Amino acid sequence: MLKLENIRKSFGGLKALDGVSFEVNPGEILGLIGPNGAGKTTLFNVVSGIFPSDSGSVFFQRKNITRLPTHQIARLGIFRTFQNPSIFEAMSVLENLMVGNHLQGRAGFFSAIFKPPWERKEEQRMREQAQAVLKGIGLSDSADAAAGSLPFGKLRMLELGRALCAEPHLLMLDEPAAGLNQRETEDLTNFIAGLRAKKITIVVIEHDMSLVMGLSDRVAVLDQGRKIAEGAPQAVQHNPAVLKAYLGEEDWIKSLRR
Amino acid sequence: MPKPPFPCLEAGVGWHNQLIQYLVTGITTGAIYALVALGFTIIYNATEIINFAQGEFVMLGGMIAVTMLAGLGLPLWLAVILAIAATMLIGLAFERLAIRPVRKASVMNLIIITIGGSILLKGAAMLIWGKDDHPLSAFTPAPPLHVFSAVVTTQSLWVMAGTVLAVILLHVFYERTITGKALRACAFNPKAARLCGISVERMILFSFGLSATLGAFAGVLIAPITFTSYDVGTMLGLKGFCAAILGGLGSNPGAILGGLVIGVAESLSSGYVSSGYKDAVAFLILLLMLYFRPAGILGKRAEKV
Amino acid sequence: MKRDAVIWAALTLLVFTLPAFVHSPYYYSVLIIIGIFGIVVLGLTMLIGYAGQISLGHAGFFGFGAYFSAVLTTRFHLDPWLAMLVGLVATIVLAFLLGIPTLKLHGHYLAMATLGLGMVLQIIFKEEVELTGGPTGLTDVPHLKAFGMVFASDQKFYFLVWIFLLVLYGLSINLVHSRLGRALRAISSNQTAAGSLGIPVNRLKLLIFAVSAGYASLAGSLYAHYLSFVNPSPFGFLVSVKLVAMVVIGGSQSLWGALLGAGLLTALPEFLAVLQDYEMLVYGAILIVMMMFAPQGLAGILAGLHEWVKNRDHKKNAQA
Ligand SMILES: Nc1ncnc2c1ncn2[C@@H]1O[C@H](COP(=O)(O)OP(=O)(O)O)[C@@H](O)[C@H]1O
Ligand SMILES: [Mg+2]
Repeated sequence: MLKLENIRKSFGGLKALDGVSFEVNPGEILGLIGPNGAGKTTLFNVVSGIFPSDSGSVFFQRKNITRLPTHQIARLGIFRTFQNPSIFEAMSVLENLMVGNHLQGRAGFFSAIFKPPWERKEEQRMREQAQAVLKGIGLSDSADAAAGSLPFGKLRMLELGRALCAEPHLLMLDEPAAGLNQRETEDLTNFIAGLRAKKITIVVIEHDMSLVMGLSDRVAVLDQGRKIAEGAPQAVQHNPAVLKAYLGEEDWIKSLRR
Repeated sequence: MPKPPFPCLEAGVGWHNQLIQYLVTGITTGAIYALVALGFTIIYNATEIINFAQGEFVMLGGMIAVTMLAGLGLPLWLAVILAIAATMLIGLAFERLAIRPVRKASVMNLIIITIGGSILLKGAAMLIWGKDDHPLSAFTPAPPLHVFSAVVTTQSLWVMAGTVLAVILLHVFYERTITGKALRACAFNPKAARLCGISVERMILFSFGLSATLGAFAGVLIAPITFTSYDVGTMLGLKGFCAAILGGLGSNPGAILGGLVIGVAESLSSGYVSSGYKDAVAFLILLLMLYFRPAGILGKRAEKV
Repeated sequence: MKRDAVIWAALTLLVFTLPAFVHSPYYYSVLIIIGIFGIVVLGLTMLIGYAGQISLGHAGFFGFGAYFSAVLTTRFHLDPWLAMLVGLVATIVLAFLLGIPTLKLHGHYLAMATLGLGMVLQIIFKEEVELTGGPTGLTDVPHLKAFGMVFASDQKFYFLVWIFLLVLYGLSINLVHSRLGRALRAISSNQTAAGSLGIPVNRLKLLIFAVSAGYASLAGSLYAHYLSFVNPSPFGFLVSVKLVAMVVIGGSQSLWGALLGAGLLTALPEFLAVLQDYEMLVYGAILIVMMMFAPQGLAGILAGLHEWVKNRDHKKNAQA
């Protein structure tokens, strides 16, 4: 489904990605872990076209998307969330979701200003779709609230919902549980597990090991811009290279062993 | 706008003879642009704000000097010092009253606020001094010098010498004094500066004062050449900004270089191309720089703009 | 959407009932100028308030429309409506081309680039003397005519300008409440996130820049025909600033707020004769004070009041 070949990306002298290759299979949930600064977010940014890689190629469903601009990559069905929730704060919760719907509509400039009947129908349809997702993420009560006024946990859900509105084939989640409390994390885990049924392929970056290990079919580990391990969650957990990468981060090791 | 001090050259002088004249004129106005650009840079470095009121400091310097000299009959040196001091106070007041309360505002709001300040100062100046041009007598009444085929007024020399002096003092200030170093630290990393016990608020205030001082100095220097009036600040401010961008926003040497380049380019184009489009030169340079090299000539890195 | 439709209807009613009470040509002339600036400001609000892109050069596009109308009608004897249309298309194309490099910039850099564009346009108006008449400008721009009517009197022109405004206002309301309107607001909030959802960020910024320039151009054409002369002075930096101030003071997040801003900043100096010499001073002070205490503009203040009244009623009802 998604295939990365030898991706390199440096910022100044810093090699954020140093020749990373791996593949994501259709329908699976791939956990992407690694210490802070390993290059995980950078990898998402390269795939979603936010900045181009220095070298290497990205293929999606056999199509080379390495040099495509962000919005065209989205057209292919790749959507993501951000490590810092990037919701549109001044817009209402429902409007945020309807922006997620953007690619489901086709009204252009002239239909926007003259509002022919089909445009009204399309608006109605987009609103209904968004409302359905809104219900799914449990935010129906805040539909008209300014998104910026939501508590942090709900922001994460909103951002996830916004990506779902876009009906992704591939969904990339960047630390979706960061900043959430225990209960919120559990709800989120269940919610993501529920997406599997919808045949959405997911790559999830996460530090919460119970979440990663519980959800993932496979786990890939990045360290200092390189992939140091890949495989079934159990195997990766005991991989010496992985343990070494986390050396000095005792809490992590504990959580890995848990 | 600055007029060439002696535009009337004898007929039949070759283009290369005029060239020296144009260069002299260009460097004189360029020096003023450089001072204005330095003012922008100082505030930008401390706050990341572009102070659209910068040109008004130049206007105020010139106008207050005129009042002190012609109105109150003070000696020149005292008039100059008082004009600069008064403008500095206005700069400090501007920061305290209009900028500090809204430090966290959006870029758009900050732009509007400094533009508002500029209009306010201009409006006040119009009320006080009216709409007329005001002359300021040259610092020294000596006759102009002849350098090769060019005529150089003594005031031109004052402008050049004054600018050099200001640049040297600024350099010494940044490199040798605690306040100067603190100011640089703030520009480099405000958070770290605060951790080291530097009061960022005080430094921002200081940057406005310093910037107003430089602007006023420029205004006093140029007033004998161009006359001065309540509305000279707008164009000088905008040209100074072009210079700051050309040199690389945030770079002091860049500001100086940018000012000189724009001054000379204007002077040459008004001499050899068309005097009408002279004012467009600075803006065309500004646009080309923003489009193709937003970091400027001496900008360190291609920052996200 | 509903609220905007109500405001639009109320404004329409106002526009057509006002002539029953207003008889002095002077008041009409003020209303006409408000309408003309109102048209520019409608477009600029979509650019600044919705898409989050500042422009300090829109007086240049305003002038471009005015000069196209004046030059084509006086020098080439084109039909005024045709001239207006040619000016509109030309301005949109120009804005589109200039927008390509300009809109890649952000924040202060964008402000300066648009400022530079505006300055250069004004200098062109001044210097292309053979075409534009230079600093003195062009006179004898013909009146607009339609349906056997000549829009010569202030009252007739008032209707013309405000009908233009109402139509454009209606279209703008539709636009901001559409899929594209939401996309624009998303862009203004977070370009990266907007792009990641499939919104063609650069293309939409260009579109709205060109559209807002088009509004300015139409307003410029009307301006030229109203005054029947043009010169470069109303198309400079200070007018660009004034336009932005109208948007921001009115409240950049709403179209009606911006119209309010246009009305206020045009009418205030006109009606307060005392202000004459103090105009600039007061104007600068208003800008600063508004940005300090009401960054959401008049619309923000009104919305806050509305909210407050609603809450108060709510409480009363709850107590009852
Ligand atoms: N836009 C950027 N500019 C400069 N350096 C960056 C940028 N993005 C990431 N980096 C650097 O690249 C490295 C990898 O960062 P990142 O991909 O965010 O790591 P992770 O998400 O695994 O914690 C870090 O050292 C980070 O500082
Ligand atoms: Mg990360």
